[in-house]
Amino acid sequence: MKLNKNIILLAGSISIAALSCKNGLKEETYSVFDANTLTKPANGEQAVRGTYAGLKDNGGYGYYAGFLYWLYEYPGDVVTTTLTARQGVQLDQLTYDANNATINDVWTSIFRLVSRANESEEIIKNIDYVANGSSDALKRQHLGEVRFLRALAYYDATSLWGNVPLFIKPSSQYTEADENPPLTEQSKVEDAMIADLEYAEANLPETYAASEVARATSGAAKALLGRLYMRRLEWKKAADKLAEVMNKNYDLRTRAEGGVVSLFSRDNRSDNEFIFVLKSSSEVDAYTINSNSFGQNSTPWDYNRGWGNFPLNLSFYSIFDPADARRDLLTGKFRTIYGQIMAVPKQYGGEATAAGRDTILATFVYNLKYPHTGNYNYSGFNNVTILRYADVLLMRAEALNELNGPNQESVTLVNQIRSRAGLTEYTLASFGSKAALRDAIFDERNKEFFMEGRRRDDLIRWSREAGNSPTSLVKFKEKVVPTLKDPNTYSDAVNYALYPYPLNEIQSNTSLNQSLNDGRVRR
Amino acid sequence: MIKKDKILTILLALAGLAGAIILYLYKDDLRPLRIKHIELVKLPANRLRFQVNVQTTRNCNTVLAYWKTGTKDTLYTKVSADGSNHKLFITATEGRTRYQFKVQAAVDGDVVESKTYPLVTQPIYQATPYFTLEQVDSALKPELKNKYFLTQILTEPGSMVIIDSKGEIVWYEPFKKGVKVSHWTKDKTILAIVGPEKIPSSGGDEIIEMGLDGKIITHLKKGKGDMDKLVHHEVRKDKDGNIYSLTFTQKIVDLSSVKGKQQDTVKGDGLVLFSKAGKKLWEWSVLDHLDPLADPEILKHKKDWVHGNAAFRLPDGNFLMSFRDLNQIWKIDFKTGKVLWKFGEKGDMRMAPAEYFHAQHYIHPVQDGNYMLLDNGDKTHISRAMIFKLDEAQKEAKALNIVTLPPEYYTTAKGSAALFGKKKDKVLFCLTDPRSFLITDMKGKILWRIQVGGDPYRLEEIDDFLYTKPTFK
Repeated sequence: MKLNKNIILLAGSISIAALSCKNGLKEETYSVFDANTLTKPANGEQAVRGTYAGLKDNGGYGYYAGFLYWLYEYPGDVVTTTLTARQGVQLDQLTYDANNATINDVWTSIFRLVSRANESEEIIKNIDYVANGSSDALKRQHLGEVRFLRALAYYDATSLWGNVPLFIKPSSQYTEADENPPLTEQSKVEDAMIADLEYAEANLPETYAASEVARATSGAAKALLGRLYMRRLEWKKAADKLAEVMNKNYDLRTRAEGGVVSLFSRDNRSDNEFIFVLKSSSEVDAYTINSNSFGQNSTPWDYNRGWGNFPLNLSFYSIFDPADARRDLLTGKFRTIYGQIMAVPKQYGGEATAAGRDTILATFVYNLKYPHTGNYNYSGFNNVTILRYADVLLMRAEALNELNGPNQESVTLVNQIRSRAGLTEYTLASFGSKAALRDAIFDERNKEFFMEGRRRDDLIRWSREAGNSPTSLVKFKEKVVPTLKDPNTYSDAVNYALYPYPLNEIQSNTSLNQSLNDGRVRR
Repeated sequence: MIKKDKILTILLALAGLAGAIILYLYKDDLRPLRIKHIELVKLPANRLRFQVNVQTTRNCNTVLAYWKTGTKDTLYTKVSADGSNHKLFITATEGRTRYQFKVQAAVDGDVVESKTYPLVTQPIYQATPYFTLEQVDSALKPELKNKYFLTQILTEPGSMVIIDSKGEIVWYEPFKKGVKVSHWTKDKTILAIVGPEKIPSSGGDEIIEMGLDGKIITHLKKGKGDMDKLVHHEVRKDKDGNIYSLTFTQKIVDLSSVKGKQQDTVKGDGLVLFSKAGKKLWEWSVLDHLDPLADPEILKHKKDWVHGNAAFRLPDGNFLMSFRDLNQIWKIDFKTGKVLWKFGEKGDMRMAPAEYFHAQHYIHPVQDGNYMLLDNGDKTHISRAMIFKLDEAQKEAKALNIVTLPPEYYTTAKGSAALFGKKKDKVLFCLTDPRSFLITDMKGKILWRIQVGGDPYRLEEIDDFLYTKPTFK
């Protein structure tokens, strides 16, 4: 029986061995499937594109597709409004308050773009590009693009409101306090913008393939950084940074190429005078998602059934030399859709002497920088200029003048713009003082950049230079008051360099209160 | 003897070999129980719910044990029974917290345990407002252990929300529409009315019953199947598992005698009862039992007459229903549809005027056949919980308990009040206007208070939210 026991044991151990050989050596395995985590470089590209899309914030009128330029142009002395657009009239006549819907709209668009940039930055940071067959350079480019866009959003936020909440982290890192963010000093916000732009200029490519139009380049980052230094009145930094953009990948569209008028043709949307623009789609269905509102709004009904929401004061027409090609970007004289001739009256530099059966005296002029084909084509696909080379040249001219007074390089830079427009060149001797050259540069900027969103910034900067004070509004007041229906609307107690914080924000953010708008609106 | 032994030995050896062959052939059933693979699944739709897929070598039961890193309080998932591919759901976690978990598998007395794995939860900022514990009486703390509370976000986007006694969200389910009212059922599921904000009166066009694992168990939609009316304010299950709710009903009435139209529309409230499968079993309308012309201001009220706002099906099968604008509770006979009694101001029961309630909510039965409600206190601007004893034969109603709240907790509309605690000697309040959840003693002393960053409609205690430790032997 002893033997038997052994055999039973043997048989049993054979059985166990048969199983354990097969299975006993295998380890328990573990894996995580996390659909929250985007892991591929293609996801990084999607995040970047989604951030660019924030520039038009659903298209139509959103942010750079429209409302931002209401805030930048209406309060100035060039663009005015039709009486039908109440929110716009408030901006134009400086009678806005914290309830103004357009102010609120731009505020929310800006912080949506900031939020998209923050989320995208986090997504891109967490993707291993190299291990997934891509390159670290592309990862840095993607980070540079979203940081450029965030800096652009904060440029607008600080231009419009000064101190604003600063968010440079993704929502996954929010604390409860972040639900009611306090205001951050503008200088601190600008420090963050400078960090973003310095990263962007170091990591963005100088150019892209033709299929990658409208992406931010290192030149765009440098130009925006230059614009920021200009706003901070840091002339040396501005002049140096702007010089880095010059004579590289950008130039002015020459007269031989068709000059400044052809720059704004819809067939010329990729000209290398454009450093950074809002691109829109030409597809009819793009309306409200991938279009902008400038085409439809810029021209009047009589011209091509436009809505005429950006009329320009007639006096603006009169400042142009008849030889100035840029005057051709205004509706000085045209045949209306009803067959009459609409012309600017003679006292404003136009051709019309008197109204007649077939002649109508224009009461406004309209810009032709955003041509559209008429027939209620809502899907405006014009470039909305954000940064262009002519601006870089004139900013550097201005910075050098502020640094050194009248100098040959500044005059040469201004002359590049003038001769392209068909005007005679200035000589250095024409300017006896820094102020004289400064005024000439701002006059040139006005004629060059009308309806491109620059006028409010320019009037404020001009005031600070001319008034020799970072809070002066001397030029703003001088230029804007004569265009108000009631000059008494203007109040020296209001700082027109700062818009009121939207009431919606004040009411939903417990860190803000109504008194923040003291001095920003007329009480 | 020797020969016999030899034969026996050979036979036994052969038997052993045969056994080995059989074991080898049927190894999947007979080999040792082992966990082959564990997969943790994180989906963006819900940041507090995690699916864990477990593969085992043999058919068995599995459960997942998890705990906050550094603590000993272990939580369990529901057991997944008798299979080799298991889906386990972690359904009770807090955001932004580190957990560890392991899987246990058991069959026929054989128990194996996996290694321990980490789980880190993300913040859930996007779905819900905050709930902040402002005050808690230390004497109440033992009673709050393992207590959870179901509430809802009725604005868009809406949410079903379960919080713990500290106000931490431990479970939620977001919806694009608002979640108008919710109810924790005996089956450990959440029943809710879901609808867009534009439907007023806590109304919705969907009834959804959902398990803690996120699975939709019942989904009724207006216009589909038997659901032909919007529902509002209340959704519950009766003891047979049928679902009932309030409905909006309407009737063409001749109001010409009070300067209305000859064919005027009066909108009122009804009740509806659905089977689990969504078949309509029964319905009832107040418009069949009230004469609109008895209301001198019917033209003013005809769009939302009487405003029903709560219902409860009693064990005897009959319904309680609360009408805000009548300041009354009715009992409705299930078989005949007749109104058995009206209780409240101008009702059938004798009552002390001080015990009249106004714009009341949340009528429900409590122990000893008594009834409890939240008196919003439309007249006095003081909200209170009230428990009534009704003598149906003598037609008399008497308040046994009145728990009066300080004036700052007055809520003009919505809200709930229910007994709380092992001895049912406390009251749990949901107060919408002051955005507060309270537990008080029967004298109204506040023992616990949570501040809500939104408008809650109702709050229910859940004492069986957690799965208990299974006995694996």
